[in-house]
Amino acid sequence: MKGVAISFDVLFSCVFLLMFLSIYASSFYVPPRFEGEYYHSYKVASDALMILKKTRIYDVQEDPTIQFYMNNGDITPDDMNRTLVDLIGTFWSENRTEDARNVTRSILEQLMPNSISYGVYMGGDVIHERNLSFPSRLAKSSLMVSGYMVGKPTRGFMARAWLQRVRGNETFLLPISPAGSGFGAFYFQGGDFTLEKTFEIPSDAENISSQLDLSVHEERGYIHIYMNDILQASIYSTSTYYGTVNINDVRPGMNVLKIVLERPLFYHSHTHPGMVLKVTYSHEKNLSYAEEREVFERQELPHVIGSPAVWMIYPFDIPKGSQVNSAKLHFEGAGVNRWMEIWVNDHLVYSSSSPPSDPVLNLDIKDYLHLSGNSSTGETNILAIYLDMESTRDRYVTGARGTAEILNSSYVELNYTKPEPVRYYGRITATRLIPFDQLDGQDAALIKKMYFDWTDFPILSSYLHIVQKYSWKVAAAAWHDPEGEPNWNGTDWDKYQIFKSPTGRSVPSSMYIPVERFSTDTRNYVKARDFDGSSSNLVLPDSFVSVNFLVPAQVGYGDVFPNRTAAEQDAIQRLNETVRGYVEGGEIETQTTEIVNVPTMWGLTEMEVRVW
Amino acid sequence: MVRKGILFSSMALLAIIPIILILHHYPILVREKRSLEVEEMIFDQLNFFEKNVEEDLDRILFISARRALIAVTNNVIINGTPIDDAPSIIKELVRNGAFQGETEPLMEENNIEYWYEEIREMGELIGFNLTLYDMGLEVNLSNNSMVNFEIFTRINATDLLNVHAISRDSSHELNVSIEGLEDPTYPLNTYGLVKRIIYICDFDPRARREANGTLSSGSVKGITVVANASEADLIPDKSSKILVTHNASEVSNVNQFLGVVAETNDTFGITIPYLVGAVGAMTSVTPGEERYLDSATKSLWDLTGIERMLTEKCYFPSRDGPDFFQRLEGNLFSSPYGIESFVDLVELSSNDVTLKPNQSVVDHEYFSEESIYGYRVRGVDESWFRLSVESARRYGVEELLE
Repeated sequence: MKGVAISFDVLFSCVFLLMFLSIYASSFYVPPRFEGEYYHSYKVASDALMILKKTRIYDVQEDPTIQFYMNNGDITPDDMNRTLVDLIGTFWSENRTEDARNVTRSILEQLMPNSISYGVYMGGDVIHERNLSFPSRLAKSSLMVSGYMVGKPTRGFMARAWLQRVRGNETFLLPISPAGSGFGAFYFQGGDFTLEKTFEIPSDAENISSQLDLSVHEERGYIHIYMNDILQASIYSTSTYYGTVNINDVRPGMNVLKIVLERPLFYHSHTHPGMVLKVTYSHEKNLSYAEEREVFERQELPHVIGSPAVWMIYPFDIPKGSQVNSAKLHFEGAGVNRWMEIWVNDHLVYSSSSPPSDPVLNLDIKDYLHLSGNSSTGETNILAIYLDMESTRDRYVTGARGTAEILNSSYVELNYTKPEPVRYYGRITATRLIPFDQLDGQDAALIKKMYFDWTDFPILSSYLHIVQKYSWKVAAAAWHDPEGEPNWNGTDWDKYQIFKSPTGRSVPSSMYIPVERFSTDTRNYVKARDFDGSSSNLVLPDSFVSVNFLVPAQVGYGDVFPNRTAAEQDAIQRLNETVRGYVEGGEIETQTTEIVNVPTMWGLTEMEVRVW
Repeated sequence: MVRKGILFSSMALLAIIPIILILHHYPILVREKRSLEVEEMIFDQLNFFEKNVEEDLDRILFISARRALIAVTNNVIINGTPIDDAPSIIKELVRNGAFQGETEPLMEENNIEYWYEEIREMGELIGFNLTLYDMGLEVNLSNNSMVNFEIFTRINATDLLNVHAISRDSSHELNVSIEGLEDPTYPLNTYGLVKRIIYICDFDPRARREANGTLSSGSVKGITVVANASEADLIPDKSSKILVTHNASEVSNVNQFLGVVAETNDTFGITIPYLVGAVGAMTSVTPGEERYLDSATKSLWDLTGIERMLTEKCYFPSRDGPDFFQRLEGNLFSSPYGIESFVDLVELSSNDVTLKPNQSVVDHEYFSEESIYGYRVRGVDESWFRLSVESARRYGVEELLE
């Protein structure tokens, strides 16, 4: 009995020991069944994702849902090599979640075990779920794909557009630089002063409007303005006069502006800096712009008649850095009696105390231009002609009588080679006039400064147009931030000087500003002052800078759109926005071209299969 | 009794020890198995991730390559300035989305560098560290119409604890078609006023001599109809057709046709343009097609390829023409992968482009700075169509120059 009892004791002990060990062991692990199921679920999720990733539409073309989309044209023969992920992704990106769900369900429902719940998600959106139970455990497998985003076409159309024909606004400026009769040639000694200038407006110009900024000195006499021999205005002036006159009779083709300053009662008739004819019109613009490297240019002088003497300054410029091959002056005058001088800048290139009465001269003036070596410095050159008066004296020479004329058969002929000729295509030209009054306000001053910001289009050329009622000599500078403002050293601006009058009264109505003086990133400044003269030689706030520039007449490829029409409309809209303000609405003909099948790297997007 | 008890106890102990051992080791075994499964899952996911990155690289290479070709063309056309080294610029666009150092809007978020960063961040979210090394990018022409892109990468992927790691060098290659892109040659040489989309002709544009005879009179162009003498009379619209028959003199109303081609030499009673002695013409001539009967060469010519190339404005592979890269570079010299098209002078004229009189209309010859004389080609309707002798030889119409 004892043995049996001991055996029972041992057995009981062992049972207790086993129970202890079981409790001990169970404290170390989660039931193995859970791990196994998770692993199983993960494998199912991975396999499902792999099926979607690897299976091509061709492989499942018998599937009824796939056939449905083949029949309605959503799936074309070109799509047969695309994967199911690609198809589902495309539907999803096109916001066609229902179609994405149909395809996913149709493929996976046949393959997934009946007992499990699963879901397919793209970019966090539910594509398809089979929800049989609450997810107490969840396994997932994911795939990253580029090229899909909701609301964005996976492949689409891009378009660019350009103007094929365009009628655009053009601004034509005709600066008239100072000219006049001999000083002292008032009522009893003198006669009328007449200036005629011929200019051309394109033959297809329409909606022409023009205005003359009249800047003259006429002491008690009438100023008559003619356009093509039609009187535009007669203005009585008692002294200096600056104002605007509407000009109505500018027409397509050749035009002649004539200004007659009646014989004055006192002093002497002459024009002042700031006289500019501004003509605006619309015409069919060129859609390309190409300068020649080598330029031959003949600039005709105005026809000027003074009594008893006549003088005129005429500015001309050569782009900075151009190699000057030749510069010639052909001069023809009439009615000269006693005296004749021709200056180029501060060089006396011809003088005679007994000139022929109808002089004809051909002068080589190249050596007198603003040159550095053989290339132009860019500073405006001044041609000054005095007939029957001395340049250094304020009146006509003794013996002058009748009228003296500078004929418009006179011309300056230039031949130069540009360092970098501008060659743009798909652009149209435009002009902007920027007034001086932005910085200094409306006050006239001996020194005036203006600024402007320029961020948009390439500048072709730019000119400063100084307006003065009284003037002597002007020096001007142009700079941009962060260049420092130049200082006046008594004779010059110490840097960035773009013009300086060579002699008294040599203040032209336009001064060339080299393009490189302006920046498209920072603020630009222009400053001008009258010097060596009276303190009443003020620069008026009506002074302005004209900028000729190029506006793009085309836009490049833009966004990707799901169809050709949308891409074209976008391109045309972008083009209209670009040219708005420079061309007239309703007269634009555009062309577009498209590129198809442009892919885009939308995303990345995560495609997930979850199993629980 | 005690011995029996000890015996029973010993037996009970012996029976219980294996159970104790099993119970002791079971948790360890399960732990190890669980650990292996977890390891397998992590490694499986890491491997899947790395493969996924490689597969997506194929996709992004296609996207960025196609866009780079569009972007480079766009820039050349919009700026009106050819580029210096097309493959290098295309590489720059694919890699970092810049065109000559400036960000190119078409390539923003569509370049490899951007994708590298995106996929690295995505990897971190999933639980993997990813490092991608750009080991090189090659851009070459693989034929007349395809640009080949090949990218070499090293992908290092690890889990966040750096326990599992995969490092793999790989190269990915694809060909991207230039078809559908604009040819910069046209806008560059017409101030941007004329465009041309590149499509390779899906036919052979070269002329073919379909029949060659011994005697010919008059030249004419019309639709061919093959018939024997008895059938010929039943053919409608004879005046627009060139009859191909055995013996022209046997056809009763032969002179009602536009022209006739006959296998025999008999010309009795024929007043219309004819070609006779064309042995085998009834089998060699394709019926129902437009053909040109040329008396000077005593031949019937198929010029439809040239006509189609003109009207469809497609490109023909030619070792005498510049390839796509050269066209981007404004270079009109020849290339093994060259292509060429015919310039439509009517199109140029309607866009106010000044024409070059008597210049060959093959694009690289027409836009050449040199004067390359072009001869009229008999049988081609467009009076302005001219080819140089070399080009005419290429298109099989050397004998038709006039």
